[in-house]
Amino acid sequence: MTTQRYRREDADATVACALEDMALLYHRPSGQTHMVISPVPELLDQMGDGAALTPQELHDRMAQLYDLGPREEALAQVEAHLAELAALGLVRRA
Amino acid sequence: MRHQLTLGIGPATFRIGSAWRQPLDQLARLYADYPQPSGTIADFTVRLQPAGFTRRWLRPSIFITGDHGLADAAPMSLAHGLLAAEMGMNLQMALGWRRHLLLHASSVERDGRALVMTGESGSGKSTLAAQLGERGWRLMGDEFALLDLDTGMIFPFPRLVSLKNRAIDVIAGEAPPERMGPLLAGTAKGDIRHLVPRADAIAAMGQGARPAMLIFPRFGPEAELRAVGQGEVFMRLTQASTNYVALGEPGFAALTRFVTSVPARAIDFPSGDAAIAMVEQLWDQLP
Amino acid sequence: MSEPENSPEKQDDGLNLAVPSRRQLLMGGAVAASAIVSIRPALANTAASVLNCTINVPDQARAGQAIAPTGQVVPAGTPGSFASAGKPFTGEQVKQAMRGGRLPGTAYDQNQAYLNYIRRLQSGTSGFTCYASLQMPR
Repeated sequence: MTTQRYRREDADATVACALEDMALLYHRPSGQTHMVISPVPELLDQMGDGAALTPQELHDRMAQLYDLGPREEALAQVEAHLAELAALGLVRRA
Repeated sequence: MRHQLTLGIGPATFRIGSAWRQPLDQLARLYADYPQPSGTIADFTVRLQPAGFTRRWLRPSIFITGDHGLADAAPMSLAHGLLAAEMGMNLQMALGWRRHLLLHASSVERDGRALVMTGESGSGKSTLAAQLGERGWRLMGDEFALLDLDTGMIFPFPRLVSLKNRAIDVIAGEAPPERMGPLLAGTAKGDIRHLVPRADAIAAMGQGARPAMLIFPRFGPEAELRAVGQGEVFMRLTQASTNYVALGEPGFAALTRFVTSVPARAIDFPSGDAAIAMVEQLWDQLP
Repeated sequence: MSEPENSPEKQDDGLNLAVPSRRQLLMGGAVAASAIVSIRPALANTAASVLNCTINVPDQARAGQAIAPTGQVVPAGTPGSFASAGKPFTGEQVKQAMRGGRLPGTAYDQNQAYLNYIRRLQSGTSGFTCYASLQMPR
């Protein structure tokens, strides 16, 4: 499990819009629009205080609020989502 | 260029230059009732130019270009020059218009509210809009609907309606012959005839309307009606917009406002009359 | 995605009342791993469909060269390669060939080579916008 930390971009780097069935994120620095479904909006929400988190720390925050299923699998998923978000520029490696 | 014509359609003005006179004569006749744009600078230039050195005279062949062009455009025969001019104007709008979010959609207005219909070529959106325009609705456009970035209103782009193949006979049965253009046979999209919008639609081409319903029409063997989820609507409208990405954040704001405030339905219909019946019923059910 | 409510709240949940009730989040499994779809520019689609478009195989800048079975452009005379197509293909012809038909005037292998060339077209190469316009889903 990586100890790479991730931090959300500044709050005003993205504009969000909630739809009935998914969320939309407009990322100002890139001009890109992303359509996102759970658990991405929830992950981003948990990073909203700007803290630099490892996947494990983020997982543990999420586990307080949500039932994430078996820990090993969930940790791997969180790490994969963070890597994807970093590739898109929606979070930064810290 | 040798021959010139300036046209105003909705908020846009075009200066069309042509190496040949015939297409511009046809255009001028069909657009005769449109207000003359007030002699200022045109938004766009369209040029119908010979596709090769000899192609001005020998088997004349038109290459469509202008302020905006696509290098892989196929040349068109002079007989289809009217169509070439129309495509040239569409291309300028699709590639160059930034004052509104451009949706590949038809639209009609009633009681100050707009019905927007979006879909691929052949979905029936143009024919439906033309029919509604002949049956009491105001035609705002058959190809492009313009979404105002600040107010969320839909504005008209009431060019000549482009009718293809069977739609020609359908509309010719409902509209007077003086508003039908010449038959352009054997184009890449089949036979085409143009319909001039009614005088009231032309007169009101500067007036917007609040969008009240979005429809995805499709020909199908059985009449059917489905709700469409907002996520799917958003995705399909980004695909139906030529300038969503270029507009950046204002585009995002305008499109999300539209998607979250305008109810959407997909309708399948076996005939134009069936489609109109479904549309009228849905419209009457609006609050 | 459905997220069934988990009730009742666990007794030891000491977080403040603003916290939403516990929910199950689908974390992958049957669902695709990526929960993000990014919007791609639709410019190529709608603008090119507004015009009839054509694709030269290969593009005119490389008209004298040949097409390898993989679709790469190679020098004329390369063994196993096919000569460039005499005339450009229309969007319609390419569309139906992509669905299992044959580009006009081509034998089977030549058709495959040409289609591979078309699939490899990149933004900036002549023919790309036409090809891209054929790709957009219904």
